[in-house]
Amino acid sequence: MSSVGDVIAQLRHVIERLDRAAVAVSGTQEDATRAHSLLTEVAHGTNHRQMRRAISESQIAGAKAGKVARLLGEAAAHFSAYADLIAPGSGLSRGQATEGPPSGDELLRQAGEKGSGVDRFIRRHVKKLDETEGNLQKAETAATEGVKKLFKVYKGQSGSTAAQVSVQQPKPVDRPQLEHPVTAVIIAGGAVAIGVKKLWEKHKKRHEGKAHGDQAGDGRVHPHDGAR
Amino acid sequence: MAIKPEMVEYIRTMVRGDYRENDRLEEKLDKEGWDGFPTLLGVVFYYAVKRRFVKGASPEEVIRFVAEMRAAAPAEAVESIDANAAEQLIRAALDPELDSNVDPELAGAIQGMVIVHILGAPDVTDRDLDAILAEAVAVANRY
Repeated sequence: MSSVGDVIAQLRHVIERLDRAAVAVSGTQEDATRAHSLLTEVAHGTNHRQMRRAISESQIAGAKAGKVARLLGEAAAHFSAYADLIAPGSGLSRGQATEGPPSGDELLRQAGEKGSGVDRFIRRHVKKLDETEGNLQKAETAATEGVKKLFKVYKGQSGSTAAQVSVQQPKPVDRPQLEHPVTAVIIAGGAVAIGVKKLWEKHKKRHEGKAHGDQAGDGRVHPHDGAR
Repeated sequence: MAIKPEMVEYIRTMVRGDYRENDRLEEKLDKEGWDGFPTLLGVVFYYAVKRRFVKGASPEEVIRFVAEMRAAAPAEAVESIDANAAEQLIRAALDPELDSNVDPELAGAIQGMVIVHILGAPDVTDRDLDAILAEAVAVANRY
């Protein structure tokens, strides 16, 4: 490579290929999402292991393809930025790298980089697309079990025991902010409130039968019934 | 991902304290499958947190909220929810760029407790709840 012109030519070539790849993967994502919808519809009423697996894997394929397309778009953007740096006005700024910026690519870029908070939250903290497929499935099953166990406690279903409802606890996290007097008071206040709540529940149990009926009509406790 | 209407009703009945119907829906979903539910739960959790903290929240406000929420929950449920993890997940909803490392089962439980606490409050009307759930379904269906 002998000149800046040669470097720019190479960059143009790479950016074009990245954009084409992003569009192709974008199409793959749409196909996978469509396949997932169809499979879900077709599988209605059946719980066959292979159908469930097909549904799950088509969902993962769609999600992973979306991430790949976004990363390809980001890589192209970085090359463009570099081209602008070494040769301002080279015509490789984003949107000029290819003959016409692909619409699918633009859509993906908007979703990936400027996505709404809820999408960013879901991708980063719920779907965790960087996890392996097996882990994603396990994580989703575990999350569902976690909320079901919690709701069972609220509903006071018979047979619920402390061991059954206990969800896996993380290792204790250092909390340097505890040293802050305001924070310590807040936490102490929370502990007192929890203690009061436990006393209140004991009080309610002692007066069982006299208390007013809850919405379920079966004596179960609603979270906002006299909780505070 | 097509979110099943039963999943939406599962959350709604829990928030509204209609436990019998919630039991029925849970049984139905156990038979038919919960695919997509964690995403719906996550989106509803996100909107609940944003409703509670419209203008964001300081770490102290999040700590105070978690303490208040745990105080309002059944004692047995409180034991199963780690306060640090709950604060971490709520802060992640307020700023998705933050890191979170919460065990998935615990995350599900935390999201459930936050949803019930915020959306089950008396100031949340049926209309508010309908709007949040409808928006959550629209978002979750994209995944």
